[in-house]
Amino acid sequence: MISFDKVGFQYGVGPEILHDISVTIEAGSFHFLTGPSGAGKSTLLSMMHFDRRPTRGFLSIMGENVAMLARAKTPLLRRKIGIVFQDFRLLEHLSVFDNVALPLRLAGEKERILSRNVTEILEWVGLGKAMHVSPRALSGGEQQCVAIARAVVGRPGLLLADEPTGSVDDVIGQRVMRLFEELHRLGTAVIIASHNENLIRRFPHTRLELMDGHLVRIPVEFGMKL
Amino acid sequence: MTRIPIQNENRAMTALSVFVSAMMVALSILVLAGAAALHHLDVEWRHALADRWTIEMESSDTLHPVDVEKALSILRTIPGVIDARLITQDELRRLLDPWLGVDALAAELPLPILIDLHVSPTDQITSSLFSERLSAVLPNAKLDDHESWTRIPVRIAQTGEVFGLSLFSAIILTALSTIAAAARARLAINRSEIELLHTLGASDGYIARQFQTDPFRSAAVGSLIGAAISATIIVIAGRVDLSIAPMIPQLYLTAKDVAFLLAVPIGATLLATLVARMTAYSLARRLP
Ligand SMILES: Nc1ncnc2c1ncn2[C@@H]1O[C@H](COP(=O)(O)OP(=O)(O)OP(=O)(O)O)[C@@H](O)[C@H]1O
Ligand SMILES: [Mg+2]
Repeated sequence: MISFDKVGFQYGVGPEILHDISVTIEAGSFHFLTGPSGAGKSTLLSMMHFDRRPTRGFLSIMGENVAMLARAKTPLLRRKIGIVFQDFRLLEHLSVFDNVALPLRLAGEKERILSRNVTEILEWVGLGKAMHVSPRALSGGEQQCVAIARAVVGRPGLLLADEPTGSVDDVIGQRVMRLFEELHRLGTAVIIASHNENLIRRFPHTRLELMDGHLVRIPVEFGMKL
Repeated sequence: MTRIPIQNENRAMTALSVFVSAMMVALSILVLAGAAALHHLDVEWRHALADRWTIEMESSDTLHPVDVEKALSILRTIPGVIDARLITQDELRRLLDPWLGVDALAAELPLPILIDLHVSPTDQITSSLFSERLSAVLPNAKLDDHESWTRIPVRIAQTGEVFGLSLFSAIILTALSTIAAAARARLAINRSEIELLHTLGASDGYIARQFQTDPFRSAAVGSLIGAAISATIIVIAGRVDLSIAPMIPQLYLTAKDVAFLLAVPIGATLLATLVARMTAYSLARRLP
């Protein structure tokens, strides 16, 4: 699904912050992306979402060589990837329903089908009753659930989440994690960037640890002991 | 394409856009209509009298009718002259009645002798050549090619036209910069929306289309209002009867002018839409 081969990255003329990243993300896998603050987790995720290109090395996403990719092609590819941000990024002047419907409307989905899918997904995250309110009226945890609903409503093959539990307490955090696991069971590849050790330890998945610009793969058995 | 209600609604800004487009369109139409009417006036003044010259002599006492006949036949031989005709005293009196009145005093007033010349304006006959030939038969005759007295009103009309067109250019420049500023302000407000749409997989063109709809609507409504305002003013102005002042001809617009003026609101709407679209497009384009 995603393949990094000796990828390096630097911002502008700054120092290289990621060196020789080589990793393969299989379809349907589940990974945590960990590392101290400033290690480059967000940067790595943004490369997987076509927001930044490697400054060297080879990166292929869903069979597309990122270096050769035409601008006109990226919107279609982005729609196949769900993304969740730490700061939710919901549109406050739209209802919860319309926020979640955005990706489907962008894809030109018929309103009838869209309405059914959005309702279903909002019920799944437990917000079936809050469909027509503004996100402003929701708590941080509920807003994060809306953001997750928006990320998965288009049934993406890959879900990227950057600190999805960063602004919610542990109880909500665990609920959010269960939603991700459920998605994973349904076949979606999930990558979650986080430095919430408490949470990570409770969910047995492969860790990709960024240390000094290098990526180390830590298998489940090993990771649980950390 | 389903339209996504992504834009932050800003009533004050929408109202301002409608108002500005209405005013710009109304002003443009009025200024252009004025310039067109002045242009007709200018052309008419120049053409109406271009083929009519007049020869004028003091009074009839000193002049023998035979001399006049001789003068007429000489005049007719000059190349470029189509016809030469003596304006009779009766005719002259009728022409002057409205100015002098029909009383006895007026009847005794000595009238000049006038010869009406019908010349071909394309033949480029010069008045100096004329005066030369004329002085042989009618030594005290004066030639009036009317240019001297049409020159000033024609120049005034032409100055008015130039002034109108400059004003129109100024309005267009103002309108363009206002539209561009409004488009940029609107994008600044909606920047996070644009970035989000981009992230969720919207193409640059899609984003541009989303952000042209509202400006299109404001501009269309404003242009309609502006066109209605200016049309009302033009109709009222057209009703004003100028015939009381005999030297000022009626101002008018042709069907072609009206069609041209109708292009103003349509053009303004398209322009506003295009600018909004291009501004959104260039912003989307700069995203990764
Ligand atoms: N737009 C940018 N321009 C220049 N440098 C940047 C930019 N964004 C991030 N960096 C730098 O790149 C490095 C990695 O940043 P990044 O945000 O990827 O880290 P992170 O692992 O996500 O950190 P955190 O856990 O705090 O979110 C940091 O040193 C940061 O200062
Ligand atoms: Mg980060």
